[in-house]
Amino acid sequence: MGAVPALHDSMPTKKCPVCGVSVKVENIARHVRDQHPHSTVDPEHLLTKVERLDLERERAFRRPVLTRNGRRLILGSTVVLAVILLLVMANPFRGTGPSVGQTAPDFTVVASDGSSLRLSSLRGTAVLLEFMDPDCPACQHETSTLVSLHTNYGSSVRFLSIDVNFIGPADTDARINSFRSAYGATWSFALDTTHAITTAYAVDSTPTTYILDRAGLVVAVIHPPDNTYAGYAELLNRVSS
Amino acid sequence: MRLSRGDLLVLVAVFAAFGIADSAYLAWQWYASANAPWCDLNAYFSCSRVRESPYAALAGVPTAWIGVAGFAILLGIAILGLRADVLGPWKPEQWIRGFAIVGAALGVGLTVLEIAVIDAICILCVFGFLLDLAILWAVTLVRSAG
Repeated sequence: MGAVPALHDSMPTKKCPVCGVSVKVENIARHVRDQHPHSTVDPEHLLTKVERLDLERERAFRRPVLTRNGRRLILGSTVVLAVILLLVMANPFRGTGPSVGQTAPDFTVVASDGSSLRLSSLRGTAVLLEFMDPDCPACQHETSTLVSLHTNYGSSVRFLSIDVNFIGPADTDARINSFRSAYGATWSFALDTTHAITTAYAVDSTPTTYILDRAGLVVAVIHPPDNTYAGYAELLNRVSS
Repeated sequence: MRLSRGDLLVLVAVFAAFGIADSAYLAWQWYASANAPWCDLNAYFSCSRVRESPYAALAGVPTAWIGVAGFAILLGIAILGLRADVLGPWKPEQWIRGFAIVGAALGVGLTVLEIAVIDAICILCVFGFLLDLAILWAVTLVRSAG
């Protein structure tokens, strides 16, 4: 890629009426103002009309020029960058999770108590499948609700919480068990170490809770603020009856 | 392709403007979507995992604000450079080169952290880094453009 030479290098000079130093015409007013602040010379009237016109012409000439190739490159870059940025922001490539009426994707996890658990092995029992993070305040609030629900529905509905580890320190089984103890949550919790389950269910916020019927079909997908005790109770009554 | 100094300074301004948009979006997401993932293609190309790391914020302030400030400075200098040949002791392109080199050093550091420590890539962070490199490229050509 070649270079375009500088458009204009020379600039006429004028002697300062105060000190006699040669100064570029474009700088003469500033020179008098800065160097001779107590001078009686008016800096704004140092240039003749012709010099002023020449200076304006010179400035216009020196203003950066956009070439045809440059305009194309700028326009092309703008369009390409805008498309890339919008695609990344909108992320249309992200998958979609199971909808109501669809079979919940199967997975196997190792629970925080060390036991292995496969979702499809729970067929025949309704399941409350929660995606959460111990560091998420909304999840902490929901856990309190789920503890009450588990007391009343734990015998007929299987509860399972998947730690998606979106925020805060890296979660471990020890952290999860500490969280369970703090809230008195006695059902199974498991860490989604590879985010594979999170991706399969396209979880995009926590808490997200799937209610599955006995056949493993999705009955409802619950997000705050719909995660109230009454809302859950109505769904759990339906799937467990 | 022959480009003028004006072309290249406008190009720097365009790159910097996109850098501001990118960094501001990252900073905004840090506040707005604290419980949600975003710009995740999979477990590795995941902005969410990078955000979970301790390097995403310094004393509660998202690192992305550094990007917003840096690109804003570059945009300002590029615009001023279209009006003036000299800004203080240096030419505008020298200022831009200096700030872009600092930005590139930060970008290299953060990218190495993502690959070696966090084990995840934030695409929007890499996008900002590439914009900074593009600014360095453009400003290097300004020198040859005279």
